[in-house]
Amino acid sequence: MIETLIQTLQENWPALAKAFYETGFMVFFAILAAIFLGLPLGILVFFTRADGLAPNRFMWVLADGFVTVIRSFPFLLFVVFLIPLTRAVMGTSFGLAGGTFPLLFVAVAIYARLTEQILLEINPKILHTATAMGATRLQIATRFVLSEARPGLVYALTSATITLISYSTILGVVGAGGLGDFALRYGYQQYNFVLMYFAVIITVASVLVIQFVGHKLSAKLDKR
Amino acid sequence: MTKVNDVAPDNAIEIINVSKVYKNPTNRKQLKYNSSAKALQNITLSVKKGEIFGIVGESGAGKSTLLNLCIGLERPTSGEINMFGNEITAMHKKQLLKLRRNIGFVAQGESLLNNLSVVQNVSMPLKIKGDSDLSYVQEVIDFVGLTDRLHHYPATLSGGQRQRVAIARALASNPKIILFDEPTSALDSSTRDDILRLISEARKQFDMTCVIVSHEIDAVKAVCDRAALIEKGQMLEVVSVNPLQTDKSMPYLDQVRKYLSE
Repeated sequence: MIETLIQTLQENWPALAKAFYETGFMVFFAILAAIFLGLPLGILVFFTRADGLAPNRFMWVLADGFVTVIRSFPFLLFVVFLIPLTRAVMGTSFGLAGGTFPLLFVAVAIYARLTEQILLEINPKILHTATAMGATRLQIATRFVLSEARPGLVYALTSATITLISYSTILGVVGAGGLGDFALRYGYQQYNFVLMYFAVIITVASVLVIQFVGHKLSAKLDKR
Repeated sequence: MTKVNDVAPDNAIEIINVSKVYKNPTNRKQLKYNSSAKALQNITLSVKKGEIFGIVGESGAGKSTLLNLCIGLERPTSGEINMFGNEITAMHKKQLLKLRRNIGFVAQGESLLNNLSVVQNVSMPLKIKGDSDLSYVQEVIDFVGLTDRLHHYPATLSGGQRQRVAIARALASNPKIILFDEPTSALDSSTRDDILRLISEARKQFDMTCVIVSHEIDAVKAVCDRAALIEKGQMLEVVSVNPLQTDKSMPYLDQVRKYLSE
């Protein structure tokens, strides 16, 4: 039994390693998009709300609308819907690049919404004091908002990463590969359930490690 | 261009006939207003340089609104406010930012950044000003008696210590005036006395003007030279503060008037 398991894994190890790399590749760039685009977008939504520090209905409708539409779009349909744009920007709508592109949009939208929700928890007196001190909007965002929300933002990034791993598992439909695709094609479709469960175990283990590191980091940053 | 008025040279703040009305829109598209709240009506008062001036009234009287108007966080519906001769009601955004950077402000309740240490919190106004010389920060932390708590976080401090940090932060930019919004409202009586003593010492040591907004008569009585009594957005009078006892059975503002002035 164990010998068969080891032999199956040995035979499929290169494909499994490739699938792990593909998931890592897609999620890594999605996290970068979440940090560098989703975070500022979340701050923009927070600032431009009707009761925000810089109310601007036009900007809020645009930013919040983008987040809402992307988040409510069924992901599989979104990948298909985005194909023309993916092809125009990435040169292909297929493979690892073609699969990563739609995941970036989802990463930005998910993290922007989580960011907004965390910022809404900040004590309004802190922001009032910041304004009374003569801080500009940029200074309020960087020196006050990000400082106060830091632990929550790290915690939210952890949750977003886990969600993105889950989303990435269906990107096999455009040939992006990944652990989900591996589990389906090498495991389920070939009746090789050992491989399927092994891919699932690797995914769950990855999630647990990310969750552990994220929670530790968040707790370390939280001085409340 | 900011107008420099013919204000008395010994006045830090002059509030001339200031009113503030909040309009409540009932229909966003048509922007029709069918109700409005008069937060302040025709307030006129002046705060002299170097004095500790109290603004006293019950909750909802308009005290905090008046404070917000003084630093340009809100614009008055009518009237004029001058600070050290500069008409702030005519200032544009950049001028207001510059003005605020030279005013100390202690907000009501918890306003410290929880994930920053005492020294990081206190140096925040200087960072906002772009001032890289943080040597004065140590001086103000020493002044409020938290030299041994430099690298502690707010959560590890008592309520009184946190308020001391807030005062040190307000002092850090070396302002000519500090505005306090209910500085002792969440403190026990012993801690409150310490904080009030600190405010009094700060006025002497740093040669500043202080404005204290409070509903606590004892606090105003302990440190203020004069106080304005505000009720439902209207200023009743400005009284000089003298030490005398109060009769608790009297209506609130009668108590205040008697307690502060007689």
